[in-house]
Amino acid sequence: MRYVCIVCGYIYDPAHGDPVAGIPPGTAFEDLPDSWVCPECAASKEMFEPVKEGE
Amino acid sequence: MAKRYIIIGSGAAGLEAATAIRTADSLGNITVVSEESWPYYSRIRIGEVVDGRSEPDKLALRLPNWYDEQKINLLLKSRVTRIVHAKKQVQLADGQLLDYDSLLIATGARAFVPNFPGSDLAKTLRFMADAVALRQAIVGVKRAVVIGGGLLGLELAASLAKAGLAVTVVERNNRLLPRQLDLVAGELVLELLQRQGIDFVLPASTAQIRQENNGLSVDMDDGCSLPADLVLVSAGVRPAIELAQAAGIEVDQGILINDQMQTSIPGIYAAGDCAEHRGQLYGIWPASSEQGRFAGRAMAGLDVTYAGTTRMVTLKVAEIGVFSMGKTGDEDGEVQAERSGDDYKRLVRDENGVLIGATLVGDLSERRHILMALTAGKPYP
Repeated sequence: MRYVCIVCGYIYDPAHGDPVAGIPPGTAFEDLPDSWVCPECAASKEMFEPVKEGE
Repeated sequence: MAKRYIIIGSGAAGLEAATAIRTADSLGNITVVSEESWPYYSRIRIGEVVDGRSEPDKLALRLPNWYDEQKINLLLKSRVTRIVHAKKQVQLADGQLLDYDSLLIATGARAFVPNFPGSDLAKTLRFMADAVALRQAIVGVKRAVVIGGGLLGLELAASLAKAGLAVTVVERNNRLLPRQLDLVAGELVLELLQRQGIDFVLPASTAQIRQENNGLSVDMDDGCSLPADLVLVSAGVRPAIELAQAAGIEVDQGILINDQMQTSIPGIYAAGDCAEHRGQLYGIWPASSEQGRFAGRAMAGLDVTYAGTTRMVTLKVAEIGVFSMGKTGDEDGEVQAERSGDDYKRLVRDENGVLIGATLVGDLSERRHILMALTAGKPYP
């Protein structure tokens, strides 16, 4: 499932991961380390909400 | 023949457009021209470079080899000087002419500096190059004044305070973030920032900046002065529309675009901070990246209708969480406000008890329920 940062709107897509932060494609949001932050605005994981697919 | 795309600007709008084009058109020639020295990075986070928490490379939003993998020709430190739309060409500062079939203007915005005496003595923070220069400039500096207490000014003040400077923020309103927060929430944010060691002078207007023997002096309208080694202005941004204007493209405050992201000249699109859509200049990251995605798809020949971007309601001010949504004015309905320690909750209800607006500072854990109640129009809690 994709997650959106409610501070800046960045979308974490497990299909892409976050290669710049060393997160390989295929990594589920739940499996991101707690130290991971939003690459766009540095918000912590708890500032992310699941994206309702189909919108 | 493969379609030739040129994108002017490598920020959120430009790069999201390039990404969207590549998804829709695997063969097209995509060239991104940017005056900047660093490829697509998080502009929101450049304050981290100023205070040393991060490095320019760490704020990159694409891996260095991504551009080659995606066959995106990125020309950094390059400036487009002219759009020759009659020939579907752009000219670079070195004289080179590039042909396009589809052109995107994503030139962004520049920091706005009010025109008062000595304003040229102040610095601004907008680009990564500014952040890198500022990091050098604050070495050995003790006192900084930030003119402007908006979101970016407060972030910048917090960065400078983290770097060990004594920071004073000058704000012309009588409270912080008046557009986003009510009086009590504004005061709480002020108090939390003061605890981070930041001083505030408000309401106060800057009359001039003077060079003195031992540094700078920021003089206010009311006659007071603040001594400083470094003065920064954070007074908003202005769209970079000159290139479009010179090409005869219709502009108002921004470059005018329709719902298909087209400007007044066929084959030329605009997106991001430089664009004006249905009378709106957003100047926020989520809108720029969304407009970029729409523009990219439109340029690749797909049908798109951009209807605007919902403004984000959650902010992070110098690591302080702030949530504000719906109607938050005192006159809008019945207000229930409660402050407990460093947390603040303010709910506004209509005559039927239905929640119509909310503000949270600090603890944002209730925002999810509030969001659902607000969108569903259900009683809360």
